Amino acid sequence: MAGVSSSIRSPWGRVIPALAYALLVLAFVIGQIAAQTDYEALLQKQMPDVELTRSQVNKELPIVYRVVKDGEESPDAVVMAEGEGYGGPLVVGIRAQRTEDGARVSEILLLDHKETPSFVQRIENKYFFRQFAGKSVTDNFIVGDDIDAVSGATVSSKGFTAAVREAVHLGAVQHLRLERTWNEPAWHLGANELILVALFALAFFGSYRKDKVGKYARYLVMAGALVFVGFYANVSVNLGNLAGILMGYIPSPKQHAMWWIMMAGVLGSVVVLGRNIYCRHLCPFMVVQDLLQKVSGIRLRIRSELQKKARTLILSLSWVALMLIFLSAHPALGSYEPFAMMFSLEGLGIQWYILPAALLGAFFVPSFWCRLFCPVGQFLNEIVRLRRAARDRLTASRKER
Amino acid sequence: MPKKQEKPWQYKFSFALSLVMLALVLGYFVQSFLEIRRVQPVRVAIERIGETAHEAGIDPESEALRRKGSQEDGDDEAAKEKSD
Repeated sequence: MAGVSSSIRSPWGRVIPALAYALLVLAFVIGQIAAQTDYEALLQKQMPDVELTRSQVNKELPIVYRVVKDGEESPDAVVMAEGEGYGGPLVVGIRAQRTEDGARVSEILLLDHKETPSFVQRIENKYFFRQFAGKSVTDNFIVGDDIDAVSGATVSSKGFTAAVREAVHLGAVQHLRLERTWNEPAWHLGANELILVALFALAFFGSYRKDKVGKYARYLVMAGALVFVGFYANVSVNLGNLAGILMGYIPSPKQHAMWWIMMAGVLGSVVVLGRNIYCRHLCPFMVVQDLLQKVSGIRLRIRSELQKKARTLILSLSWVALMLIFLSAHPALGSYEPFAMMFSLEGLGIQWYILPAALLGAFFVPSFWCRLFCPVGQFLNEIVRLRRAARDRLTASRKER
Repeated sequence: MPKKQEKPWQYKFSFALSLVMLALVLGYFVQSFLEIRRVQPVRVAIERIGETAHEAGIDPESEALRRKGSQEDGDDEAAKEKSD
């Protein structure tokens, strides 16, 4: 405590955080300017054999392009549209080929996305986009109806499908003058959403009840967190999600109710109740670490000096991660946590080494990742701490009066 | 009661693990930075099934099915996924 107060008193203790915040703002501005991609040029580059002529109907996405080949107008059309993924917006270009009864999807290009690379890799590896090949533009294009989601990347699957749906249906109406015979996606509150709500309710219950019933509730939540939040839905909270909110990447509640339930539960518990329910009960990676500890039975200690400096270490790593996220305008790029990879078993490059190292650490040191490296836990605990400090100050000022 | 014996090897081992992890996270940042600097923004180009089918006047659905059949391993997996 003395160290903290002395660092605040020293001039560097004020200058360094102020400089860090200023650089984050600068990175955010630069990233937003640099993110203004010319998708039209990108789309044209991917289709060098044809000339794309922009339809004058829509100035912003989705946009329909007429296709000119060898100087003659082709009956085909290309539509560029935006959808909402788990990490942020994604842009697709769809080419539809005219048939006697309408048109069919003949080509899909993913022009940009903000998804976690391991999710996209999983979707690619599972040949998700093959489902779209040859589909009529008047089909529904709804996950759970005529499109199957990839398990472990359900939210990204929905995002890609939504972008394709918007593109083909707009092309069908504007270019082909077809009637709307397809179904529109409805509010999706199914079993998955109910399970997540139930897990949060059970976690709150277990955190307040200290008796045997509470203990069983906590065990049940841990099992649910591992199986459902981790392996089944793969919706662990990471730094990319939180940074995405700061960047305004908030998905539609109609299509991504799971995201809303998760964020409302996690942030609501710390802001309203002043309790970090997520880290203690619902984080699937925490459960994995606990299980490894149970298996190994080894509980190596961390030097107290290192534990004291852990906060500074995590804040520094979070700062670098946020700089990367803001500069690239891509929340998943700076998110260094191994959660998504752990539960999808898909990863890129050095992520393949981070996960085993984190698991090895957890095998020997209790909650190794959480105590020394987790930015989400640090962020949520900081909110709890600030809330407590604000409440104490308010109580003290009331007493003074 | 005797004082609990200090175990410096425990500290050294956990410290070494922390350093390895820190190096890996920093390596991830470098990798991310290189990713940002990549000139080509198209990350995935998917299923260019249309070109040959269009030029030859082949129905795109049958062309897609033909191509599907040519990749046995991948398609078995895809079919399995779909049935799941």
